[in-house]
Amino acid sequence: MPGRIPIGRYGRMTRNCNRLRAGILAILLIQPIAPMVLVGSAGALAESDLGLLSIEDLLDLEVTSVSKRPQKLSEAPAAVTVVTGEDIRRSGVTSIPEALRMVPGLHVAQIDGSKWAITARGFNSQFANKLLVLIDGRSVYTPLFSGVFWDVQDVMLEDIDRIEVVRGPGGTLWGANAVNGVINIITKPAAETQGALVSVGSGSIERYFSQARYGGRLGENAHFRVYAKYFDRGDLASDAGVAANDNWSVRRGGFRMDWDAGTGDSVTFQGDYYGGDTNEILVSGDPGEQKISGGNLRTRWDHEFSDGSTAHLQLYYDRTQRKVSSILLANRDTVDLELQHRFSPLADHNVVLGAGYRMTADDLSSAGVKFSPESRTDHLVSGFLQDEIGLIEDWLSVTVGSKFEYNEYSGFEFQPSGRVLLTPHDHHSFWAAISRAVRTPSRADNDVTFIAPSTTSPGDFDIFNGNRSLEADNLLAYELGYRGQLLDSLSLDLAAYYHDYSDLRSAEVTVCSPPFSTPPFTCLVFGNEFDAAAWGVEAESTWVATPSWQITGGYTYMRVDIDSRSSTDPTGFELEGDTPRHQFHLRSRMNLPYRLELDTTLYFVSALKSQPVRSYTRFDLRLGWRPTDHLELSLVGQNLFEKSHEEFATGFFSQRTRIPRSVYGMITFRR
Amino acid sequence: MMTVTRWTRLGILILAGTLLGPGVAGSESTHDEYDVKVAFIYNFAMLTRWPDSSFSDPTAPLTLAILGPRDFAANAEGFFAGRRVGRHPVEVFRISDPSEVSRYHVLFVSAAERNRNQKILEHARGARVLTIGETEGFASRGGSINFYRDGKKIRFEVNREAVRAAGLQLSSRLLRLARLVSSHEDYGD
Repeated sequence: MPGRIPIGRYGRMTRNCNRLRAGILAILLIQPIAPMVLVGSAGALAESDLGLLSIEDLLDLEVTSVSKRPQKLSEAPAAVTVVTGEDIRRSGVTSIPEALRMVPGLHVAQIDGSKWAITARGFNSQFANKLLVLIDGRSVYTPLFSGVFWDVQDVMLEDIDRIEVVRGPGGTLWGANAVNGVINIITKPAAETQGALVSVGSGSIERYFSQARYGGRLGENAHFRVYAKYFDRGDLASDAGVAANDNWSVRRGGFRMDWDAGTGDSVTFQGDYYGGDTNEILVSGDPGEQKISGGNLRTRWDHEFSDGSTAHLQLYYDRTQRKVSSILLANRDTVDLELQHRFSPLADHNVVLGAGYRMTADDLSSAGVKFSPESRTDHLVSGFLQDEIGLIEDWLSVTVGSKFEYNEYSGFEFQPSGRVLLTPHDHHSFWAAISRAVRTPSRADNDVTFIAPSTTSPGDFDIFNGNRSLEADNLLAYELGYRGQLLDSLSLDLAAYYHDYSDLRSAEVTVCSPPFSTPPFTCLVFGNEFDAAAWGVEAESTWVATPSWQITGGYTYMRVDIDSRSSTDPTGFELEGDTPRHQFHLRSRMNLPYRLELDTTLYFVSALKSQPVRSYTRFDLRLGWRPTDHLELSLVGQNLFEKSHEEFATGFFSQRTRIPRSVYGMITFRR
Repeated sequence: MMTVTRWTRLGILILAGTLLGPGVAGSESTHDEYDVKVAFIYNFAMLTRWPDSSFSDPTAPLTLAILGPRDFAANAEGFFAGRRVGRHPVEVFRISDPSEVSRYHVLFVSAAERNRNQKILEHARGARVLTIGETEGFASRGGSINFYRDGKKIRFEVNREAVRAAGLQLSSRLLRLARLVSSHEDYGD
């Protein structure tokens, strides 16, 4: 299954039984050993009048939505949301972080032009460290701080097939760092992006952007595409209301080739390269700049055995380079090898077995943020085993498994999980899960030293020190969920969770040598002194009001309660308040006559109690027109309700920034 | 594997229906998508001409292979029991190995096979098989007919080159109702 690492791993729940009748039939019929004539003895049960209808009549029939049926994803016993390429196009967003706003359970907050704080289920910050992000199977979170540099995570948005977001622990399959969630960004196979596409646009913040892609064939069985894109985004507004000097531009290009070798083998080869410049204003008030560049190459070989079992082997190389003013210079090279085998050793058992090796080497030299040692090479070895057991066909299945890994920061870790899926009716399924996940310490947690203005006593400075004996953060998560098709036109997805964290990273007061031993300096060393509980509810519902009008609503309730134990770290309260209690969004997608599209989105995010960030309501509107099959024009307005609003007040060395109202227009040509 | 008796199943279903309230369990005002698709496939088969050599004799069975979920195959089997396409009775097979697809007259590839479409179509290439899919891009990649949704209704597209390459003829009535696509068109942006 090329390009499909992700939730498919949760299983191939063949939730059949689209009706009682079919279900009974399935039981009466013998297990299908292919090929096999399905004997007609049960045929009478399935007598239907549809056979009397002409093809013209059939075209007029309304059918039950089974849009979720082909997505085995939707049958995964986990809190999963899928954002499709079409969702992205219709929302008018221009970046991956912005596309994630429509996912319940996530908190997406823009810090300044090129920085975002994104997390699932709490603990948000620019360096949110409990979320794993993959682009086409390539991990893009950085072991530097176990978080994600969102400014360099981009692809040609038109090439995105879907973004799969799993909230809650995914450690059993994906390993450490998949503590609160996993985001899989999956691009289309080259065969689905054939032909030419060119689009250009311009607007108030999106000063200029353009992109081009061409896809073609290489002989009978191989397809390729190449693309290039560029954007230049202008300044947001500073807290004082003037331009924030946080404009940035990134250029990017890449390719993908898919070769179906026949005989069950297929090979994918892809790569990207990017480079960009980012401006910002440092807390000191001085202008700062970041230079970012990187590239990657990935190859994946999929094999299907004659018995239907599958295996894949994936190898990628990834390089990132970042220069943050004079504060930090960070280069990193990563090589990752992954092997996975999926098979059925017994009837009703679906086993996935995997092994992985990752080597990551960095070079961190700078004046401001110091690392000791400056270069470090780390190795990670992991394996996992998962078995999905169909206990009662179509009704009850259980998935158990665990990841085992050895890393050089916290040693051996295991991350087991158990999941149950109950499908009492084709339209209703319930799931429950208990899982353990860990966040292994990052390079910064181990080896960093830096001075930062104190967040708790203004005018003072905190000196942070890494700790080589830091342990992993632990999570034990309890989750419940429901997924249902309430009416033909109405679906509902609910998830509730209670997360029990222990040994979370804290910053403990310690003694430093002079001159840093006295005020205004406070010396801190990372420890594992926080425990925490987090709980919440995530809901999403889609109503297909008419064939040309679809409405999706989402609601998220999140709470975090930190238990500081005997910690000397006073920032526990801040962690609680970095999470908005309520989030709500409503998306409307309407097809109008004359090939017009009218799409609106309303987002509400409640206040961040530990930051001077008030609740805000964001309203986006997109008007699209496709005069021909080859041409698309769109006009997008974002944040239309407010002149500007703030989303997250604390960035790393950067100033508070407000997100202003903006508009842009875009023209796309496809052939 | 524990197999639940049908009465237990029925009981639990009724219970679930009671708990979830009316309008949930038995929404019969519209039709199940797969039931309707089976009826479409029946119509497609009636509106398609295979070369005489495809059948060993004029009353030989027309074979329909299904790559996909068991419930679909079960529906199809129930539907086709006792029905004929012309003088041919219909035999339904559920298969899992793509290399066998060329042996059948009609092949339905469910959306669950979306990742194997390319491979499946390659195995069908050159064979006298009417390939029917339900995945975006199926027809443009060389499938004959592909279902798509227009709101709550089912529509289909036809790739005439693919039909011709398979040595089949579709009735103009079918073509009139179809959205026509050609091979390798760029989809889904």
